[in-house]
Amino acid sequence: MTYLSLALLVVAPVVLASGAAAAPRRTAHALAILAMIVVAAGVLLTQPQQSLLVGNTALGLTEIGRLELAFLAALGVLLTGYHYLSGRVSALPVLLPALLASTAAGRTFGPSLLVAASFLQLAAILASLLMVSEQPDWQAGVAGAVYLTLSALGGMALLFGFVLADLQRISPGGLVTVPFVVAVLAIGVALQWGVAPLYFWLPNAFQRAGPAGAALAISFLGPATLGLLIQALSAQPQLVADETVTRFLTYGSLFTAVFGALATLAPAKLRRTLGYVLVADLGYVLAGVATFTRIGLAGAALHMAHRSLTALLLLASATELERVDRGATDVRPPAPYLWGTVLVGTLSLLGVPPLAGFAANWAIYQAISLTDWRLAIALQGTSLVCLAAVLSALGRLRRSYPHPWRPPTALETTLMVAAVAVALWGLAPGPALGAIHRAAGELPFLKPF
Amino acid sequence: MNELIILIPLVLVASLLSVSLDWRVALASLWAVHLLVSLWLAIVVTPEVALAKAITGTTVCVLLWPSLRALFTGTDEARRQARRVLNLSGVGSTDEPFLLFGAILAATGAVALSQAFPLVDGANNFAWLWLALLGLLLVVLSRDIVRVGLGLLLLVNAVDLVDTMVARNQGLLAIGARSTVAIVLALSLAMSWTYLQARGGRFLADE
Repeated sequence: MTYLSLALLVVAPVVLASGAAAAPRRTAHALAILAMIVVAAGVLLTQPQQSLLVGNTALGLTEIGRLELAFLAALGVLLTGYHYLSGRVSALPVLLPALLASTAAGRTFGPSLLVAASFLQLAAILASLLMVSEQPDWQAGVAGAVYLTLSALGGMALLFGFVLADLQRISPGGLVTVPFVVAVLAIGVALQWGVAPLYFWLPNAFQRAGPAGAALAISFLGPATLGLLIQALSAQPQLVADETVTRFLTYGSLFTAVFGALATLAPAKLRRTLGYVLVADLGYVLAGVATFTRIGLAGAALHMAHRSLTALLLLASATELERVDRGATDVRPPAPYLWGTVLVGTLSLLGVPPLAGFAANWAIYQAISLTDWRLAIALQGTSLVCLAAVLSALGRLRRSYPHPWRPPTALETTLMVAAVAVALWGLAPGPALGAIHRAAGELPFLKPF
Repeated sequence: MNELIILIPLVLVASLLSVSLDWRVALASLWAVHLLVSLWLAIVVTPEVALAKAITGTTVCVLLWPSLRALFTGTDEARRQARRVLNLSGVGSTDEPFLLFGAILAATGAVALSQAFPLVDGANNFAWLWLALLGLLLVVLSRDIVRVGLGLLLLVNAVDLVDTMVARNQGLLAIGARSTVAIVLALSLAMSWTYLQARGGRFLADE
């Protein structure tokens, strides 16, 4: 890492965010996209083995950290593009570059986990700020306040967990045991991700908050939290040595998958049902990580990336669909574009072959089948339950669409193209899975396979 | 001896924060908690860390003050309305007298845990556990989001304290990162209270 790459990763997005705060809407969106491009350039300029000494702290970026930041920058461009096309006015162009800068700063700190966790917490607070202020209704504000509270609690659990991990490393066999440290860290991660039973904010945000704020919390901070988890386990590899801990994490993944799947069966609005699907979907990520194998972690990271893209697509299309159903666009005759986009996004998220989700799930099935194939079957079963629930909810929303269908709007076209891309990248998963698998090879806490 | 002189007022003002009904008392208590923690840090760590804590605490309280003032001043009807819109948990949540019981419970828990699990030295252990348990109780038991926010800020202090005790020589970047988190958290809390009040007013008018 050099001073130039550090400036591109951390300083430039903050400067551009300040510019976006003072600029009109179109310029603000352009500056936000420029900030994402600048961060991507910073990632390209950073050499993984090179560290930069600032004071007593060595700053650097691992290969998997580079992949994470490049993905987040790309996701940021998509989110900003959607926000611009949908005509929404919010603080997204200001907050998104700041959020990416905060995530990048955390990732460059390597073994300084407390600093990295502080930056993640900062990012989560910024996301909640957008969630609180984005929509003009009270319920959206409540969803934002709930997310602010739970993510702040999660951030503090992570900070406390890292303090305990330091104590455990200094005096192994003392009062602080590995299972205790992992339990505290697991609570922190569960609160940040929305894992059952600490899931409350996730369906609430998906249903009630604005799409930009919810997308930041789900699509952006999900991979960022996984990045921090990988960073933490690399710095404290003693935390993965306990087999009992691994078993409990695996059962935890199954619990959230089953819980989320059962919750989707409750009668609710489409967006809430989709929120529960995302709770269930976290079971795959957790199960992949809990194997502590290269293929399992690569699958979990790929699944998290796919989940982030799909969640953004589903949030955007379900919100626009709701606007249409409320009569906000009654001047145009109904057409099935958004409905179809939600359908394709759901099928892809739930891993229906040959769509992309299946490619993301396949690596996880492989990894967990090595220890217990029944777990893979159970996870597949929860996906089928979720699929039935969402198809049923979507069926109820289907209207009659008079032929010939009107031409799609620019936003509908963008969402349909995004749906096709999100659904079909998995036909050739090799490059993405290979890149993550290679990067995971450098992680010291993983088993070789 | 020095530590006890700080510990006793810390316990008192943190208790006052958890049970106070008046926003001015709550905010003053929060500021006092920050100042006492910084005084504590000046004795057990370094004056630089203590100064950073005091500046952070003062900034946090300055950020919260306008929002709390807007929420709790005005006519009785306006204050009643503010309480309604800030109530997130709805009917069935605990009431203020239970928080007093909660504070006593937290004190008992802090004494018991500090003896059973001495993570850091002596009185330091009680101090961070007391703040952490009180903060957690405020977050879990409180009826409205203002108290939940104050609980979160107490928790920030607790984590800060235990972290400083474990890693005595902290880098400037680490202190700066944590201070920034505390300040941005206070700003977010203040903004969320203001937004909820403004939108809740419209929500109640529509009912």
